[in-house]
Amino acid sequence: MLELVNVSKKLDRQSIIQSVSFRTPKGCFHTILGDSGTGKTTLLKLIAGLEKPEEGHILLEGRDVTAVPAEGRRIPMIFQQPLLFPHLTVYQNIAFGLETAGWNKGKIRNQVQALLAVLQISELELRIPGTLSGGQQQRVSIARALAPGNPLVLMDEPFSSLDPSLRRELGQQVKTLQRQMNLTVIFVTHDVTEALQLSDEILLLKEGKVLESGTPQELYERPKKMATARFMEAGNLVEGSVVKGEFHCELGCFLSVGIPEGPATGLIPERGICVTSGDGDARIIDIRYLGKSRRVKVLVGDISLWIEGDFQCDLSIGQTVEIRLPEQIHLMYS
Amino acid sequence: MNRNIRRLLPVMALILMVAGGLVLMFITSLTDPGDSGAALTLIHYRTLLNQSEFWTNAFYSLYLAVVASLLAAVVGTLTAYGIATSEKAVLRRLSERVMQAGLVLPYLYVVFLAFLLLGQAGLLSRLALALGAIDSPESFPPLIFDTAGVGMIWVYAFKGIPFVALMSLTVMTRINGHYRSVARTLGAGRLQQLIAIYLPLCRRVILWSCLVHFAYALGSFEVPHLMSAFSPRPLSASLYTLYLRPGLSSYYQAMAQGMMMLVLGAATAALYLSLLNRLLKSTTYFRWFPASDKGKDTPTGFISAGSVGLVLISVLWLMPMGYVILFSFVAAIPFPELIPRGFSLQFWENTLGRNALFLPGLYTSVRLAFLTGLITTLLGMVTARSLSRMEPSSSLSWFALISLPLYVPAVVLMLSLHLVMLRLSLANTGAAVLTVHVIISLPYATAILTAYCKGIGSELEETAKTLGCSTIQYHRKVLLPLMMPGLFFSFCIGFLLSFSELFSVLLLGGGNVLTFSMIMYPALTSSQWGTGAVMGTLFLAIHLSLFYLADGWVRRSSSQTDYLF
Ligand SMILES: Nc1ncnc2c1ncn2[C@@H]1O[C@H](COP(=O)(O)OP(=O)(O)OP(=O)(O)O)[C@@H](O)[C@H]1O
Ligand SMILES: [Mg+2]
Repeated sequence: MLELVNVSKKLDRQSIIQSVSFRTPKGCFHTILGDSGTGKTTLLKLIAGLEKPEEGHILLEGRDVTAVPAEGRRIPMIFQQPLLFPHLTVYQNIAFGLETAGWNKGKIRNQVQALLAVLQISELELRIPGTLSGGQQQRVSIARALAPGNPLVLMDEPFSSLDPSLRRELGQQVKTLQRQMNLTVIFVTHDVTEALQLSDEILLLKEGKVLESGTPQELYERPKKMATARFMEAGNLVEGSVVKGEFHCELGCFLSVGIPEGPATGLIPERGICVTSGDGDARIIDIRYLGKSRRVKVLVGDISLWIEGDFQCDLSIGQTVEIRLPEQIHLMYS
Repeated sequence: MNRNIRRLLPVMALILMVAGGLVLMFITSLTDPGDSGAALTLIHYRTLLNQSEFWTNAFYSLYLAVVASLLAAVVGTLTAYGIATSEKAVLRRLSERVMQAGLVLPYLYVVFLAFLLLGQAGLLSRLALALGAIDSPESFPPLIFDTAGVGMIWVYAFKGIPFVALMSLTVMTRINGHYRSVARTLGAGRLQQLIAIYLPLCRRVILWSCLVHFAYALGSFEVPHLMSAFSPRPLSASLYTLYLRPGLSSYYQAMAQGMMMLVLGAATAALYLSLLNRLLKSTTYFRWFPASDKGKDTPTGFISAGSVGLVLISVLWLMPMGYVILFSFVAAIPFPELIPRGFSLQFWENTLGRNALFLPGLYTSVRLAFLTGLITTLLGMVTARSLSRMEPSSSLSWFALISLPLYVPAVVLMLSLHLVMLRLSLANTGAAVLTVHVIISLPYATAILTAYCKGIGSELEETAKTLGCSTIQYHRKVLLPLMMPGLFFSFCIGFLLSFSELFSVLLLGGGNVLTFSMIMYPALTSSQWGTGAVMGTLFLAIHLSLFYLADGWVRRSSSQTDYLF
């Protein structure tokens, strides 16, 4: 559906995007994840045609569209702010892209009303954007982007200005819509949880370069790079080295597969550790109550580990406990 | 009485003076000269309306005003849009500067440009001759004393386009650029973005500036007086002649004609503006314009139509100004030559050294302009403090009322104010001229200062109060420094408007007040191009340096401004 080949972009003589390549298959919910200022918005603008890359190519269904301006590509983009045209009603806003495409009045009416219904905003049809709440406005802006029926839609942190519950709700709705309409979505966020929940595939962007990409599970459970593991907050990182097929670290020995001899880092998931009360070599130094579960921080030798679980026993700071680690852990090059 | 309303009293007194003048004019136009003055009569109107000449002139006037105003509306908004959305910073700066020059230059100066450029011995005629398009100067079409009024329309457009462009630009630059991005990703081309987003959002400011420009083009004195033939003659030119003609009946006729100008102008403006309003509001017709070059690749290095337009605009405005400056330094440039025969300072020496009126004229002008700037700024500040505390819609309504003097055709405004000044025994004095100059510059000063006051907002005052600052301290330590650039800008506007004025000085000063414009005027009527070029260059220098100084200060200052529209 969409392919970027070595795309680079400079703004103010500063390299913002450096040789980014990726491919998004049809019907994929592809998330671009990254910290603030890493160039996520710039990347979306390049795809939309609002910015022109200095180098590289952008292909849309196999066709090179690098030189086509945004109005020729017609890839709808949803921005962080709803950006509804303030002088147009909700109906007119949604119809905007259909008018530019020259649809006739009847067809426009049907399409707009269908979308109003899908996004549950039918009663807002004749309102002016200024009188809507933030969530309602963002719904309208989603409807406006979906209206022309383009199979590819870009979303730039569309829910970041909404409160958390609304954010989850709208996120789920968008996901459902994407499945139903078989849309290809490029979704930008800096929120790991949101990315994990919604995506088919995630592309991790750091300082304008692709750090790593893969499915949510791959990135979370089996990242290839330390930076990825850190960013995804996937678990505890312990340093050690691989000797004769075994990973040795301060916590002991683990089976290792597919990593050559030498220094390496192990990833121990927070939920993969068993805790039993009773005298052990781990001492609890911090406890966080999370509602459904608890997180405790224990000190084993010089190493501190975070453990998450719904511990039945009473735990308190200073108490020593016994912990059991998994036999095999995921390893990365150091 | 509410403090906000009390603050509006001074400006309302001035507006009342304008309204009173119009009422006086109306009453006078109904007065029977034969009677003791008690009875009312329609005789003056009947006489006037039965003259076919009146109708010819009226339609001619309206034609000029509508065409000029339409040109200003279309080209002005396109230019503003080009400046607001151009990606080329240099071009943006240049064209904005050029438009500012067009805005602040006096009409008298632009009339002079028209003579030098469009006259039968002017630059265009010389160029046409050199290029072989015509074979004798006589075959160059008369653009100045012609019936189509090309010269006059050119002058009105030369001033009107920058006016509309800069007024709309104040709104356009505040439109979130992301709206355009959204529109583009939905397939809207550049013209469609203008029609669907920019025009509706700038509707009010475009309508306001078109109305003001329409009223000016209808009521200007110096332009038709210097540039029109005797028939058809715009009403504004014939009105003054009628007013000055000895005999009571022509005096009453003039009053009736003034009222008719007001009525016809209002009717035409209402019709024209409501059509324009519809057009600006409606977005349906954007289907007529190309959506986009769908899928077409734009070649790299492609020069956009917008850039070409901005360059063209800049050249069209800069060229004549450059020609005037050049003209003031030439030794001789006899027709039909294009290249001057050497340079000399003879015109400068003649004008500055040998003209006994020059220095006193300049002094009078500067003094008058200085006082106008000062009083306008003071009154504008009082008014702005009040407007900035109101709801946006009611401050806009008040502003619409305060701009009343700008909606009345200039000659009608001046004649009616003359009637008021006669009653107040102030006619033919500097005080009368000063008052009138304050009246016409106050709307602009109010607009600028209200924008500043709104930008500063009331939170700052509240914060200062919580820090133990008294009202007086707040004014001195916080408000005044923050307002300084705005105050200076408004002072300059008052100064420059007063400096440019001709007709008000002529009529209300009654020959007792001799200003710079008044000295330039005879140079134009008697075709002393050299003197004209020198005075014109001085005009240019004074106006541009003062304006750019003020504008630069406003830009450099970090104070926020919010706008009235
Ligand atoms: N017009 C511009 N000129 C110069 N630099 C820019 C411009 N726009 C963005 N940048 C810079 O490019 C970098 C990437 O910006 P971008 O908006 O793409 O980041 P982002 O990943 O979307 O961040 P956020 O999550 O905060 O939205 C930033 O360092 C920013 O300062
Ligand atoms: Mg961003």
